[in-house]
Amino acid sequence: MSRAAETNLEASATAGLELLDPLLQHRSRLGAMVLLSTADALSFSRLRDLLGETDGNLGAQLRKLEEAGYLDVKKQFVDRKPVTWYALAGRGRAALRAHLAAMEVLIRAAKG
Amino acid sequence: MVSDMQQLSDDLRFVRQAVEARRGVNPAEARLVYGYWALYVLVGYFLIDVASDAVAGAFFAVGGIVGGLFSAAVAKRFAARHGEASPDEKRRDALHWAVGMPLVFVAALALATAIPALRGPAGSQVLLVMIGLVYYFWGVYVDRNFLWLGPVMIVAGIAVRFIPVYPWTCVGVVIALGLVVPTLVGKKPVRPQVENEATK
Repeated sequence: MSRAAETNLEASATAGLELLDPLLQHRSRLGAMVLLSTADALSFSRLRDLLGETDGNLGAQLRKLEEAGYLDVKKQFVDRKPVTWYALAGRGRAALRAHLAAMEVLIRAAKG
Repeated sequence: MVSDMQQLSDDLRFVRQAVEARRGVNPAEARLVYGYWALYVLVGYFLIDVASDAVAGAFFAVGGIVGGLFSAAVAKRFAARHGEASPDEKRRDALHWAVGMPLVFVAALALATAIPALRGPAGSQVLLVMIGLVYYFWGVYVDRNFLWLGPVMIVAGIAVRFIPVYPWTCVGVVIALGLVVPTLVGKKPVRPQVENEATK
Protein backbone atom coordinates (compact mmCIF):
# COMPACT_ATOMS: atom_id res chain seq x y z
CA MET A 1 0.00 0.00 0.00
CA SER A 2 1.34 3.45 -0.89
CA ARG A 3 2.14 6.04 1.75
CA ALA A 4 -0.69 8.31 0.45
CA ALA A 5 -3.24 5.49 0.69
CA GLU A 6 -2.08 4.70 4.22
CA THR A 7 -2.47 8.36 5.19
CA ASN A 8 -5.98 8.40 3.71
CA LEU A 9 -6.99 5.31 5.67
CA GLU A 10 -5.52 6.75 8.84
CA ALA A 11 -7.44 9.98 8.24
CA SER A 12 -10.76 8.24 7.63
CA ALA A 13 -10.25 6.03 10.70
CA THR A 14 -9.55 9.10 12.81
CA ALA A 15 -12.61 10.81 11.35
CA GLY A 16 -14.69 7.71 12.13
CA LEU A 17 -13.48 7.68 15.71
CA GLU A 18 -14.36 11.35 16.12
CA LEU A 19 -17.85 10.74 14.75
CA LEU A 20 -18.59 8.02 17.29
CA ASP A 21 -21.15 9.07 19.87
CA PRO A 22 -19.42 8.97 23.28
CA LEU A 23 -22.67 7.88 24.93
CA LEU A 24 -22.90 4.87 22.67
CA GLN A 25 -19.32 3.76 23.16
CA HIS A 26 -20.49 1.65 26.06
CA ARG A 27 -21.58 -1.83 25.05
CA SER A 28 -24.63 -2.01 27.33
CA ARG A 29 -25.92 1.36 26.16
CA LEU A 30 -25.24 0.47 22.53
CA GLY A 31 -26.83 -2.96 23.05
CA ALA A 32 -29.94 -1.41 24.60
CA MET A 33 -30.25 1.10 21.76
CA VAL A 34 -29.87 -1.58 19.07
CA LEU A 35 -32.38 -3.87 20.80
CA LEU A 36 -34.84 -1.00 21.08
CA SER A 37 -34.41 -0.27 17.39
CA THR A 38 -35.69 -3.80 16.67
CA ALA A 39 -38.87 -3.43 18.77
CA ASP A 40 -41.30 -0.65 19.47
CA ALA A 41 -40.76 -0.94 23.21
CA LEU A 42 -39.02 -3.27 25.63
CA SER A 43 -39.45 -3.54 29.36
CA PHE A 44 -36.59 -3.00 31.78
CA SER A 45 -36.55 -6.69 32.76
CA ARG A 46 -36.49 -7.81 29.12
CA LEU A 47 -33.52 -5.54 28.38
CA ARG A 48 -31.77 -6.75 31.54
CA ASP A 49 -32.25 -10.41 30.56
CA LEU A 50 -31.13 -9.89 26.96
CA LEU A 51 -28.05 -7.89 27.91
CA GLY A 52 -27.16 -10.07 30.90
CA GLU A 53 -26.84 -6.98 33.09
CA THR A 54 -27.57 -6.37 36.75
CA ASP A 55 -30.52 -4.15 37.70
CA GLY A 56 -28.25 -1.46 39.12
CA ASN A 57 -25.86 -1.24 36.20
CA LEU A 58 -28.53 -1.31 33.52
CA GLY A 59 -30.61 1.26 35.40
CA ALA A 60 -27.63 3.62 35.52
CA GLN A 61 -26.85 3.17 31.82
CA LEU A 62 -30.46 3.65 30.73
CA ARG A 63 -30.74 6.77 32.86
CA LYS A 64 -27.82 8.31 30.94
CA LEU A 65 -29.57 7.58 27.65
CA GLU A 66 -32.84 8.94 29.02
CA GLU A 67 -31.16 12.14 30.21
CA ALA A 68 -29.65 12.62 26.76
CA GLY A 69 -33.14 12.42 25.27
CA TYR A 70 -32.35 9.17 23.45
CA LEU A 71 -35.09 7.16 25.14
CA ASP A 72 -38.76 7.58 25.91
CA VAL A 73 -39.74 6.00 29.21
CA LYS A 74 -43.20 4.96 30.23
CA LYS A 75 -44.25 3.33 33.49
CA GLN A 76 -47.38 1.24 33.78
CA PHE A 77 -48.88 -1.63 35.75
CA VAL A 78 -49.15 -5.07 34.13
CA ASP A 79 -50.93 -7.65 36.27
CA ARG A 80 -50.63 -5.20 39.19
CA LYS A 81 -46.83 -5.16 38.87
CA PRO A 82 -44.97 -1.97 37.89
CA VAL A 83 -43.32 -2.26 34.48
CA THR A 84 -41.00 0.34 32.95
CA TRP A 85 -41.11 0.46 29.18
CA TYR A 86 -38.32 1.93 27.09
CA ALA A 87 -38.61 3.05 23.49
CA LEU A 88 -36.18 4.77 21.16
CA ALA A 89 -36.88 8.51 20.87
CA GLY A 90 -36.43 10.27 17.53
CA ARG A 91 -33.22 11.83 18.78
CA GLY A 92 -31.94 8.44 19.91
CA ARG A 93 -32.74 6.86 16.57
CA ALA A 94 -30.78 9.59 14.76
CA ALA A 95 -27.86 9.23 17.18
CA LEU A 96 -27.80 5.46 16.72
CA ARG A 97 -27.87 5.84 12.94
CA ALA A 98 -24.95 8.31 13.03
CA HIS A 99 -22.99 6.11 15.44
CA LEU A 100 -23.46 3.02 13.26
CA ALA A 101 -22.42 5.02 10.20
CA ALA A 102 -19.23 6.08 12.00
CA MET A 103 -18.58 2.46 12.92
CA GLU A 104 -18.95 1.52 9.27
CA VAL A 105 -16.34 4.12 8.33
CA LEU A 106 -13.98 2.64 10.91
CA ILE A 107 -14.56 -0.91 9.77
CA ARG A 108 -13.98 0.06 6.15
CA ALA A 109 -10.78 1.83 7.17
CA ALA A 110 -9.65 -1.20 9.16
CA LYS A 111 -10.28 -3.49 6.17
CA GLY A 112 -8.18 -1.18 4.03
CA MET B 1 -6.12 2.74 17.39
CA VAL B 2 -5.71 -1.06 17.59
CA SER B 3 -7.24 -1.17 21.07
CA ASP B 4 -10.10 1.06 19.87
CA MET B 5 -10.79 -1.37 17.03
CA GLN B 6 -10.62 -4.32 19.42
CA GLN B 7 -13.06 -2.58 21.75
CA LEU B 8 -15.38 -1.87 18.84
CA SER B 9 -15.22 -5.44 17.67
CA ASP B 10 -16.00 -6.73 21.20
CA ASP B 11 -18.92 -4.34 21.49
CA LEU B 12 -20.34 -5.45 18.15
CA ARG B 13 -20.08 -9.09 19.17
CA PHE B 14 -21.87 -8.31 22.44
CA VAL B 15 -24.66 -6.46 20.62
CA ARG B 16 -25.02 -9.23 18.04
CA GLN B 17 -25.40 -11.82 20.79
CA ALA B 18 -28.07 -9.72 22.50
CA VAL B 19 -30.03 -9.36 19.26
CA GLU B 20 -29.70 -13.10 18.57
CA ALA B 21 -30.89 -13.84 22.10
CA ARG B 22 -34.04 -11.84 21.39
CA ARG B 23 -34.69 -13.78 18.19
CA GLY B 24 -33.64 -17.21 19.39
CA VAL B 25 -36.27 -17.79 22.07
CA ASN B 26 -38.66 -20.72 21.80
CA PRO B 27 -40.94 -19.87 24.69
CA ALA B 28 -43.87 -21.85 26.00
CA GLU B 29 -46.23 -19.54 24.12
CA ALA B 30 -44.72 -20.55 20.75
CA ARG B 31 -45.12 -24.23 21.63
CA LEU B 32 -48.73 -23.57 22.59
CA VAL B 33 -49.53 -21.80 19.29
CA TYR B 34 -47.69 -24.27 17.03
CA GLY B 35 -49.15 -27.15 19.07
CA TYR B 36 -52.65 -25.88 18.38
CA TRP B 37 -52.03 -25.57 14.66
CA ALA B 38 -50.43 -29.02 14.54
CA LEU B 39 -53.54 -30.51 16.14
CA TYR B 40 -55.73 -28.50 13.75
CA VAL B 41 -53.86 -29.84 10.72
CA LEU B 42 -53.83 -33.39 12.08
CA VAL B 43 -57.59 -33.51 12.75
CA GLY B 44 -58.53 -31.52 9.62
CA TYR B 45 -56.59 -33.69 7.19
CA PHE B 46 -57.80 -36.86 8.91
CA LEU B 47 -61.35 -35.61 8.38
CA ILE B 48 -60.71 -35.22 4.63
CA ASP B 49 -59.97 -38.96 4.51
CA VAL B 50 -62.80 -40.19 6.72
CA ALA B 51 -65.59 -37.61 6.62
CA SER B 52 -67.48 -35.63 4.01
CA ASP B 53 -66.00 -32.51 2.39
CA ALA B 54 -68.59 -30.39 4.19
CA VAL B 55 -67.52 -31.67 7.62
CA ALA B 56 -63.80 -31.19 6.88
CA GLY B 57 -64.47 -27.75 5.39
CA ALA B 58 -66.51 -26.65 8.41
CA PHE B 59 -63.76 -27.87 10.74
CA PHE B 60 -61.08 -25.96 8.83
CA ALA B 61 -63.17 -22.77 8.78
CA VAL B 62 -64.17 -22.77 12.45
CA GLY B 63 -60.81 -24.11 13.66
CA GLY B 64 -58.99 -21.49 11.59
CA ILE B 65 -60.92 -18.59 13.10
CA VAL B 66 -60.61 -19.99 16.64
CA GLY B 67 -56.90 -20.59 16.04
CA GLY B 68 -56.36 -17.05 14.79
CA LEU B 69 -58.04 -15.57 17.88
CA PHE B 70 -56.17 -17.99 20.14
CA SER B 71 -52.81 -17.13 18.55
CA ALA B 72 -53.49 -13.39 18.92
CA ALA B 73 -54.40 -13.84 22.59
CA VAL B 74 -51.25 -15.88 23.24
CA ALA B 75 -49.12 -13.27 21.47
CA LYS B 76 -50.65 -10.55 23.67
CA ARG B 77 -49.88 -12.59 26.76
CA PHE B 78 -46.31 -13.12 25.51
CA ALA B 79 -45.83 -9.38 25.07
CA ALA B 80 -47.00 -8.66 28.61
CA ARG B 81 -45.00 -11.50 30.17
CA HIS B 82 -41.75 -10.98 28.30
CA GLY B 83 -41.78 -7.20 28.19
CA GLU B 84 -41.98 -6.70 24.45
CA ALA B 85 -44.37 -4.41 22.65
CA SER B 86 -44.14 -4.46 18.89
CA PRO B 87 -47.28 -3.23 17.11
CA ASP B 88 -45.34 -3.25 13.83
CA GLU B 89 -44.57 -6.95 14.21
CA LYS B 90 -48.19 -7.62 15.19
CA ARG B 91 -49.37 -5.83 12.05
CA ARG B 92 -46.95 -7.83 9.91
CA ASP B 93 -48.07 -11.14 11.50
CA ALA B 94 -51.72 -10.25 10.99
CA LEU B 95 -51.14 -9.26 7.36
CA HIS B 96 -49.28 -12.49 6.70
CA TRP B 97 -51.64 -14.98 8.36
CA ALA B 98 -55.03 -13.34 8.91
CA VAL B 99 -55.05 -11.77 5.44
CA GLY B 100 -52.72 -14.14 3.57
CA MET B 101 -54.54 -17.37 4.40
CA PRO B 102 -58.06 -16.17 3.46
CA LEU B 103 -56.54 -14.79 0.24
CA VAL B 104 -55.16 -18.24 -0.53
CA PHE B 105 -58.60 -19.78 0.03
CA VAL B 106 -60.28 -17.19 -2.17
CA ALA B 107 -57.62 -17.69 -4.88
CA ALA B 108 -58.05 -21.49 -4.78
CA LEU B 109 -61.83 -21.10 -4.91
CA ALA B 110 -61.56 -18.71 -7.86
CA LEU B 111 -59.28 -21.14 -9.69
CA ALA B 112 -61.70 -24.02 -9.06
CA THR B 113 -64.58 -21.89 -10.32
CA ALA B 114 -62.73 -20.96 -13.50
CA ILE B 115 -61.08 -24.33 -14.16
CA PRO B 116 -63.35 -27.36 -13.61
CA ALA B 117 -60.35 -29.73 -13.41
CA LEU B 118 -59.28 -27.98 -10.21
CA ARG B 119 -62.40 -28.98 -8.27
CA GLY B 120 -62.53 -31.75 -5.65
CA PRO B 121 -59.26 -33.46 -4.66
CA ALA B 122 -57.21 -31.47 -7.20
CA GLY B 123 -58.51 -28.27 -5.60
CA SER B 124 -57.30 -29.46 -2.19
CA GLN B 125 -53.89 -30.14 -3.71
CA VAL B 126 -53.71 -26.65 -5.19
CA LEU B 127 -54.75 -25.21 -1.83
CA LEU B 128 -52.00 -27.11 0.00
CA VAL B 129 -49.35 -25.97 -2.50
CA MET B 130 -50.44 -22.35 -2.05
CA ILE B 131 -50.47 -22.66 1.75
CA GLY B 132 -46.95 -24.09 1.41
CA LEU B 133 -45.92 -20.84 -0.26
CA VAL B 134 -47.44 -18.81 2.60
CA TYR B 135 -45.45 -20.96 5.05
CA TYR B 136 -42.29 -20.54 2.99
CA PHE B 137 -42.54 -16.74 3.02
CA TRP B 138 -43.00 -16.86 6.81
CA GLY B 139 -39.73 -18.76 6.82
CA VAL B 140 -38.03 -16.14 4.66
CA TYR B 141 -39.02 -13.23 6.88
CA VAL B 142 -39.64 -14.58 10.38
CA ASP B 143 -39.19 -18.21 11.41
CA ARG B 144 -36.40 -20.16 9.73
CA ASN B 145 -38.13 -23.50 10.47
CA PHE B 146 -40.75 -22.64 7.89
CA LEU B 147 -38.10 -22.37 5.20
CA TRP B 148 -38.16 -26.13 4.80
CA LEU B 149 -41.71 -26.79 6.02
CA GLY B 150 -43.16 -24.65 3.21
CA PRO B 151 -41.41 -26.60 0.41
CA VAL B 152 -42.29 -29.89 2.19
CA MET B 153 -45.96 -28.87 2.03
CA ILE B 154 -45.65 -28.02 -1.64
CA VAL B 155 -44.12 -31.43 -2.36
CA ALA B 156 -46.80 -33.09 -0.19
CA GLY B 157 -49.49 -31.25 -2.11
CA ILE B 158 -48.23 -32.81 -5.33
CA ALA B 159 -47.35 -36.25 -3.91
CA VAL B 160 -50.57 -36.79 -1.95
CA ARG B 161 -52.34 -38.37 -4.93
CA PHE B 162 -49.72 -41.14 -5.02
CA ILE B 163 -50.21 -42.20 -1.38
CA PRO B 164 -52.49 -45.27 -1.45
CA VAL B 165 -54.07 -45.20 2.03
CA TYR B 166 -55.12 -42.26 4.19
CA PRO B 167 -53.20 -39.86 1.95
CA TRP B 168 -54.33 -36.64 3.63
CA THR B 169 -53.79 -38.06 7.10
CA CYS B 170 -50.19 -38.83 6.13
CA VAL B 171 -49.75 -35.26 4.88
CA GLY B 172 -51.28 -33.96 8.13
CA VAL B 173 -48.83 -35.99 10.22
CA VAL B 174 -45.84 -34.60 8.29
CA ILE B 175 -47.02 -30.98 8.63
CA ALA B 176 -47.92 -31.42 12.31
CA LEU B 177 -44.46 -32.81 13.03
CA GLY B 178 -42.92 -29.95 11.07
CA LEU B 179 -44.78 -27.47 13.25
CA VAL B 180 -44.15 -29.05 16.63
CA VAL B 181 -40.67 -30.56 16.49
CA PRO B 182 -38.70 -27.30 15.90
CA THR B 183 -40.36 -25.68 18.95
CA LEU B 184 -39.24 -28.63 21.09
CA VAL B 185 -35.64 -28.73 19.90
CA GLY B 186 -35.20 -24.97 19.35
CA LYS B 187 -31.91 -23.32 20.28
CA LYS B 188 -31.63 -21.80 23.71
CA PRO B 189 -31.08 -18.06 23.68
CA VAL B 190 -27.46 -16.93 23.64
CA ARG B 191 -26.52 -14.76 26.60
CA PRO B 192 -24.08 -11.98 25.93
CA GLN B 193 -20.93 -12.27 27.96
CA VAL B 194 -20.39 -9.26 30.13
CA GLU B 195 -16.75 -8.51 30.64
CA ASN B 196 -15.15 -5.96 32.89
CA GLU B 197 -15.01 -3.42 30.11
CA ALA B 198 -18.78 -3.41 30.00
CA THR B 199 -18.96 -1.52 33.26
CA LYS B 200 -16.38 1.11 32.33
